[in-house]
Amino acid sequence: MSSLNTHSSVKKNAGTTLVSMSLTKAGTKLGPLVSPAVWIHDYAKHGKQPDIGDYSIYLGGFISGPAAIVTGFFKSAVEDEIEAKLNHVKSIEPKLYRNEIKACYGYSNSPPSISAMTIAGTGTTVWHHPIGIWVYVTDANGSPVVDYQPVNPSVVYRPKTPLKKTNFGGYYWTSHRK
Amino acid sequence: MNTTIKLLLLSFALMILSSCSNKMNDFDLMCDFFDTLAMENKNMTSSQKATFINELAAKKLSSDSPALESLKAVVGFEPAEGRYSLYKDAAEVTIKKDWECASIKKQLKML
Repeated sequence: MSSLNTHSSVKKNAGTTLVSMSLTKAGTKLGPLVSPAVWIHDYAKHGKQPDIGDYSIYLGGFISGPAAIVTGFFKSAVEDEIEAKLNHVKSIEPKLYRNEIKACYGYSNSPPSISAMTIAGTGTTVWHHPIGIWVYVTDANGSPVVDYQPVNPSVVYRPKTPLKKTNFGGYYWTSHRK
Repeated sequence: MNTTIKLLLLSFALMILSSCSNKMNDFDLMCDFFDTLAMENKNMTSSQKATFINELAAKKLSSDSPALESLKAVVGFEPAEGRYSLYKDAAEVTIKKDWECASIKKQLKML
């Protein structure tokens, strides 16, 4: 019998088997709660009920759901904090550039300190503000601003002029500490 | 606590431990690439070295790997003597533990 047919029969019998297994396990607390398809299949075909290992594996998966939710909340809180810090930095910079200042957070999959170096390699000014945020600036068209002078930075990454490309595709850049 | 619950907790702890096992990270792989580069050819130009590393990285790392992104970024830093320190920081921020690589330390300033 092909695996497709086997799968089909598992599905066909699942409804009645689920009820049967739940009743069998009704004496335990986990029984009525957990019934993955593979357990139903095992029970239908071999009369085998989930063992301690099955429960622990399933428990791991069961816990990862709430963990994902917690991670989502955490990410949201971090983004709120970044937004607040970015707004602070914008508020102290000249009006002309405020809307063009962006956070390095989220620029790539890497931590902001790595994104900051990558962005400096695109030819624009990047800086770290003492409140704890890496930011960069572009002009209104999204083009790099090589020589921007940020207000109160702790570190500034700035492209080296005249712009010259490395063998890896970015521009050369330097760092200035306050 | 009965045996069933103990076994349940033990298997759960083992699952967590196995997910935290000491796997080779992308920065270690990058270190291997530079070890290989050092053995392959000492007479390469910096452009040839970049191609060599890029080709290995394309085969073994994802294009958005922080190890690769950091390398591409720090090779642009001048003075070149400061590149390794930036790369080491990038590695440690990403993998959250101490990290060293002698061959990257030696060769990064020549790329």
